[in-house]
Amino acid sequence: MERLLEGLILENVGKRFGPRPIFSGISFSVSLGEAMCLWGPNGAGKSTLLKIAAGLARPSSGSATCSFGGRSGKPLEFRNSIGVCAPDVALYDELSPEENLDFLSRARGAKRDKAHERELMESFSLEGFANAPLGTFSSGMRQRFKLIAALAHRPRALLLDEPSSFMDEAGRARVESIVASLKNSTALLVATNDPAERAWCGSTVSLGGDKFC
Amino acid sequence: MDFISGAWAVMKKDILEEYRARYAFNTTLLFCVTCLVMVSYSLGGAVTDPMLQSAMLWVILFFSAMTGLSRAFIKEEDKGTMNTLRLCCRADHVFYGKTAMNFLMMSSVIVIVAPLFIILLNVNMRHVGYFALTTALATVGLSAVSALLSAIVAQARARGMLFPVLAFPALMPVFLTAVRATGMSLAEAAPWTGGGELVFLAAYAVAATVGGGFLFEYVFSEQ
Amino acid sequence: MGMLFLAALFGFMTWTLYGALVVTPPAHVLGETARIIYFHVPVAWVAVLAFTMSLWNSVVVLRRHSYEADMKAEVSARMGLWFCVLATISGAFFAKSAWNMYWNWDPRQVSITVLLLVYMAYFGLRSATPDFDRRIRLAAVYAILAFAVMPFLVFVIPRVYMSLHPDTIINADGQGKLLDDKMRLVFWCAAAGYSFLYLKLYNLSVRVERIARRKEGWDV
Repeated sequence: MERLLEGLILENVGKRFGPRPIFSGISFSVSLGEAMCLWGPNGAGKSTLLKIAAGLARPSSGSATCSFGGRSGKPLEFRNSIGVCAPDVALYDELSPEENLDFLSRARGAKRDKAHERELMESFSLEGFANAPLGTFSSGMRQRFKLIAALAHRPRALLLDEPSSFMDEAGRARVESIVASLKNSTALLVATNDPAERAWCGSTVSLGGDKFC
Repeated sequence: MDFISGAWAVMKKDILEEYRARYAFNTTLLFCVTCLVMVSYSLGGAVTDPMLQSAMLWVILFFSAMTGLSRAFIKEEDKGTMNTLRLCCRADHVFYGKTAMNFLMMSSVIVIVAPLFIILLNVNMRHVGYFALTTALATVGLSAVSALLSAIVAQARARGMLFPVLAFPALMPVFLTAVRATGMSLAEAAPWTGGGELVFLAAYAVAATVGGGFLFEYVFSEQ
Repeated sequence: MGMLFLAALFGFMTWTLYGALVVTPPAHVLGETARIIYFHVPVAWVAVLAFTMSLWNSVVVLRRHSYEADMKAEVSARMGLWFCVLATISGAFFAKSAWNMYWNWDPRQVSITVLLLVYMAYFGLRSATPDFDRRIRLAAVYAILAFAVMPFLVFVIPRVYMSLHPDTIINADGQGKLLDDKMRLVFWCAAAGYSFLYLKLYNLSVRVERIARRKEGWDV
């Protein structure tokens, strides 16, 4: 694997729960401007593989690393360069979107780009709800805000797990257009079993059948 | 400093959450006051020995802490926000933020409960400064160890029962020393003999925060 | 090598048994009942040794995420627990004969109880964590935390709180409880014998555990 690559690199990654293997021998890289799809039926391990790439789960074998700005290391070391939107990654219900975004930026040690945030809120039709607690949102609204939170800090790598879930037609169209606008500057990894989402991506890793596609 | 602002971010978030929901603080305070009232009632105004009074206070405080502080990470794990913390925060920021939050909560409870304790149990508090200092130090140690154990328990099953089981042995040193120290602040003699207890509580507080911060990384991060 | 070890073990234990029961004279104050120290003290010492090994292996688990080290940590913790139980029971019998009470919450009895609770909590934590990678890390962290608390229990509590328990060898300050040469010799034989016994049992347990884990599918 070329170390000069900017993006996500997975080498020989395998995962098992107990002695039961889910997948093994997965190697790929996603650099800036590339889009990779993790494809497979429910239970195939797409979400787990995505979490391994994000640094949220430990692979049973192999390694998941990142390389940005000439530096490489574990994904969690690149808090400011990675954005994740997944079912297992929730935000704070008692806090409003404004407070959530404030917390996320303070935690990352990054400055907030309020103009960019406002733009995102408007594009997802949530600008009127910036100060309402997240717990009062519908599931569609919550999913939209999760995406906003993943995009707000302009990450160089975007990891999405079924991003269009809970969304209506308008929402899906919105997600698709945002993804299209980011594709050239971001490394995109999408875990899904929705063909429409798979269509955003240039290459695919198939799980739960052939290991590599 | 990046470190302080990171820990403060976590603490601020916790304060906001707690302020809106007011769950942990209310239950802890209620539990504490209920126990105190029951103990006072069952003693019926009988004059008690300072060491015994001190022991009762700390037993009540410890059990309240077991109920109140265990939620620190259990709530995060249950709601799925633990992953958000892992993605956005450094492990030590999370630990120190949570420890500070635990300290804030326990101190708030103690500030309310201590005067009640003095009134309801007819306690003669002779050395307020010593009591305040030793209690504060004990609370620091308690907060740090509880934060670490809460993170451990949040990732296991049977959390409710497991937390006191893990916490009791780890907190024994603080418990015993705090009982002695408080007993001395209620007793006749001036507690310059209590220097040992003070030093021990300070040492435990330092070891718990530093050691806890170091070990927390292994509990929190999956990598 | 193995045969030499077994021979040494056999030699030590036989000599200890013979020495403890026949050769040594009765103690100064405690009389015949003092013979229990040839059992009680070495067993307590072995418990500490086992816990130390558990700690060391736990550190290795954290540094290298080693399944092998976790296996050894679990085995030595389990053995430490058993020896601790033996120390507690033998201590209770000693208490009965010396102070006429099996259990009076003497500070040393408090310490040993908390130590037992710590290690039972360790196993409770292990069984409550289904995910294996998490289990080894969480258990290792708790083992380290527990070990950090141990000096307080073993050394500080008995000093601070007035205890009826005789001063330990570790606290030897020249008063020389074991005045008699024979007693000292048998005592050290006992310490060596029980340590060797522990090492042998540990060795066997690790081998059994390895087989058990391999059967479950783990790579150890």
